[in-house]
Amino acid sequence: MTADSWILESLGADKIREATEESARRRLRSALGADGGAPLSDERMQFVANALELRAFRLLDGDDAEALRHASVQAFQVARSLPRGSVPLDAAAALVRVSCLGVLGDRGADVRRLLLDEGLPVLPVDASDWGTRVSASILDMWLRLFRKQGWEDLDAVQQRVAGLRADQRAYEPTFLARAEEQKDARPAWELMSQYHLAKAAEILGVYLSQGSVEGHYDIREQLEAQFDRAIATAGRGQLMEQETLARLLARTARVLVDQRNDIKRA
Amino acid sequence: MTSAGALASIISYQGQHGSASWEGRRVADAKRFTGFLRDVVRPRVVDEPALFEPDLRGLATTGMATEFVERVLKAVPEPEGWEVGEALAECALKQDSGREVHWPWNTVRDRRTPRASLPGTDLVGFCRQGETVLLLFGEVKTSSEASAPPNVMYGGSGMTWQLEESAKRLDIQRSLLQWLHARCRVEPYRDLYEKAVSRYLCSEGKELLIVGVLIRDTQPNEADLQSRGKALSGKLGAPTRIELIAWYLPVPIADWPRLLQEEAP
Repeated sequence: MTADSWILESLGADKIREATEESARRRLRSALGADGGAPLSDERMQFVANALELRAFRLLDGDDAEALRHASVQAFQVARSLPRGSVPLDAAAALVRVSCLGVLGDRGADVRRLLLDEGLPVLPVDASDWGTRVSASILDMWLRLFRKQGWEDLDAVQQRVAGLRADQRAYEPTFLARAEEQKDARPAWELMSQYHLAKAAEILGVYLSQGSVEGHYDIREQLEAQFDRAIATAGRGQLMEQETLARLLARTARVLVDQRNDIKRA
Repeated sequence: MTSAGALASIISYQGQHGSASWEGRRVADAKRFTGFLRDVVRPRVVDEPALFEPDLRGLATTGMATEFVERVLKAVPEPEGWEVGEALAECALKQDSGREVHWPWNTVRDRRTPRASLPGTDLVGFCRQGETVLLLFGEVKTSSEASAPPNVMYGGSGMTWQLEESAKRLDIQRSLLQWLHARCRVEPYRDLYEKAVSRYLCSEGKELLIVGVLIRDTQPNEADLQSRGKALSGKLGAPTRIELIAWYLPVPIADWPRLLQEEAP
């Protein structure tokens, strides 16, 4: 019995079991290349997956790592077989969330296999619209950190961040001039939040490949500072999706650092 | 006469169809309305200057340039009529009689920037009636247009479509529930959150209160809400509840930003 068992009780054990079984059936059919009707609609599956994700989300800031692991793996098992959507940015955002749940649920190997099997969405990382380019780059970086396919993925993370820094002056003024014209400060807050996520990805990428960042072997404080600012600026801009994603990534990054430390100690 | 706290109003019309109800409320006293704008709404809308300096210092640690975002943030505009309308809708609903409406903003900064960035979510909170607590999602539109219903009720950015989206789209609801959680960690919001989300989960996402608020400076006309209420009730059946409320106010909307800046006489 945990403080969050009310979510499971409200949802009902039958619905969770049905969705988990349906997810397993879908994965099996996909592995066998077989067609078949879906006894449970995508919508019902998504509802259960969202509720289970909410349960994991409520445990992100707590100290009960085992409860978080259990809630995350339960959410991951349902969410992993859901369709990601046809819009590449939406599909990538969904994949990032599923990957976070997998890592938090100690299923990093399953996450890597999922990303290798599905492939990364083809994202508009060269879009002329700066907002789109930044969003696409951030999602791409985090998916590569979760996939870690050889050194190429970790190198690509560093290249994406360097690319954003190099291109900012050429593209950002036009993008923000439009926001200023529309008297809307939110795109500025969104960029600020995303730049902190990019910096966090850069720090984590270096750490995962080298085991230290600029001579520091403990990077948790550096990461925490970037995530705190990513969350705060998203809050200032009233950006719900951005804020919730930053909260999820913050805890997931901590787990990735701990796992890297465990490898170093072993 | 019905009392809505300091914003006393007269009900001009009421109607109901299936899961939807609608009501037009007219405020006649311009002086009292202006006082409500200044005393109740202004603290919700008017921001303090230069609150973003620490955020810019933080941004410098990312290696990205800061001058472009700084320029936009410094060009913070005076509140627009529609922004005042959204704040006014929150204040008026909070003071509504017969139920408790809670907006979970714990800090002054939160109170100033509670509006969300997803369709159909200008209003995010809880409604308690007796023992029942429901999630409240809503949309606010402000219009001086003479025709009834005004254009803001129609189309892809119109109220009807946005309310339907917020009641049906699971991705919107996922973000809303996670976002609300971060703002409901202490009482009384924690208890309200758990009660409302429990109902939402038990009902497979259907037991919600969806509120549309139309802010007008025209004469009351039931055509503003009636056809939209009927259309929504056809799309969102019980246990979802839909409430459309139109406020007919005695001061032109175009004057509100100026009135907000003026000191009381």
